[in-house]
Amino acid sequence: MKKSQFLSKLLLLLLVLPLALLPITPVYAIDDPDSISVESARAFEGLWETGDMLFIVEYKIMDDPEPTEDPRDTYLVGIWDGVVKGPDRPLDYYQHNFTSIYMTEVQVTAFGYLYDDELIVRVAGNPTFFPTLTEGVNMKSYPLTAHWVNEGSLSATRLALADWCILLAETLEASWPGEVVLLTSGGKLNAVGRDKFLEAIPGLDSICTDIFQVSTSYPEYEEPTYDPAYEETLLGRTGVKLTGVLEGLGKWVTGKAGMGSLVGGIGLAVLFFVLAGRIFIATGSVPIAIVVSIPFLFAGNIIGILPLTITFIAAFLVVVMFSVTFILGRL
Amino acid sequence: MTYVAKGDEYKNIDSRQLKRFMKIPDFTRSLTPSQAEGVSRRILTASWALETRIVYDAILDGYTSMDSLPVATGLTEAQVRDALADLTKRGRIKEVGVAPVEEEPISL
Repeated sequence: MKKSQFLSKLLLLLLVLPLALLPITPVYAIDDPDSISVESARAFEGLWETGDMLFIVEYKIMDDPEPTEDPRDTYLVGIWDGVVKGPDRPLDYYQHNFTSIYMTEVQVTAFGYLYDDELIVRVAGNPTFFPTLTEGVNMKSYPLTAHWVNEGSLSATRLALADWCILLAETLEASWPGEVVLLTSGGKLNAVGRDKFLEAIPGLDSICTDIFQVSTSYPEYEEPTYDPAYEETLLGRTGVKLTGVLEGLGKWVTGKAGMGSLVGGIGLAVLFFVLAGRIFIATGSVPIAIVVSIPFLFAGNIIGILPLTITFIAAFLVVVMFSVTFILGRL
Repeated sequence: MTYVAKGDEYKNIDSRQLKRFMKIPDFTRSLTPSQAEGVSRRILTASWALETRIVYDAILDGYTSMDSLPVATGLTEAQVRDALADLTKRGRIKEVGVAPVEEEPISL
């Protein structure tokens, strides 16, 4: 009896165990839409870089009531070359809307697409949710023949894209309720239009800035040029004798040639601080001593030992220090 | 009398798209109160069955009894009951019961 009970339990276990070990696959299903269509599609070549491609697809996946499933899980748009599927992108919305697929030049080359190829744009249900995909029921194909755009240059193609975007905005405005306005009275994308188009075509504002009511641009800056002619003229006034003396001193002190200007500058600095110190002793004020001594540097400019730039930098620093001291002293 | 569910004029635009637009200050500022109410209604009811939306609108308009709802909405009693059950499940309405019936004493 005990043995038979054991055997029956063992048999039950052997029957149940394989079932428990089977992988559990969730089953998704969603009803077919009321209708599905591709209203328009355009393929632009050469926008951000030569050879890139942008596919813009306007579609209608009409469903009432609106499915609770996220459209990004249930539908996608793809580019097909015959039976070979290219890049795809999940759809963000049901009902009437549009989206885009962008391919860099490298990606275009990898897929082997060429301008005017007989590619197909296809809006279709996700096979995870739709066990069977049927053209016109939960899938719609749209040939791109005669819908390619390349105006010969990046700027011209961008203009064509801008025109197409405005046309799309007008189409959606006419389809959607009146309070959803995408364009200003001047025909530019307002804040709502900007949000919609940048969501569907990221980076559009970098190549079609003029279609946006509000756009960001950098101010043009012309780098100023400095003419150091006068400074060079002054430096040339050193004279042969003085230059020779300074070069000799420089070689004697440092052991290297070409140290004349350094020695001259140090000598001038020493004289400057001696003068400033003498004035400080007389006045007891450091700022006065520095300010009164600054013109001495001009003497160095005139005889060609000190570059004019150094003098003006020193004067600027004195002004800043004086201003800070004056303001902080007052606070 | 045929009742038209409010918010159906928004059927060409996904309620998720509307919800996104409602986050744009320029858009919400441009709406009148009735437009804002219509947009909000659509966002709320987009995934509801049509009958449920019709009954919900009728209830909000003051038709709250089983006598008046089929007449106001043009739906059958069964459709109205199903819609009411759906709305109850969604927490949008609550049955408040019926008034007690008082028996009149029999006088001879």
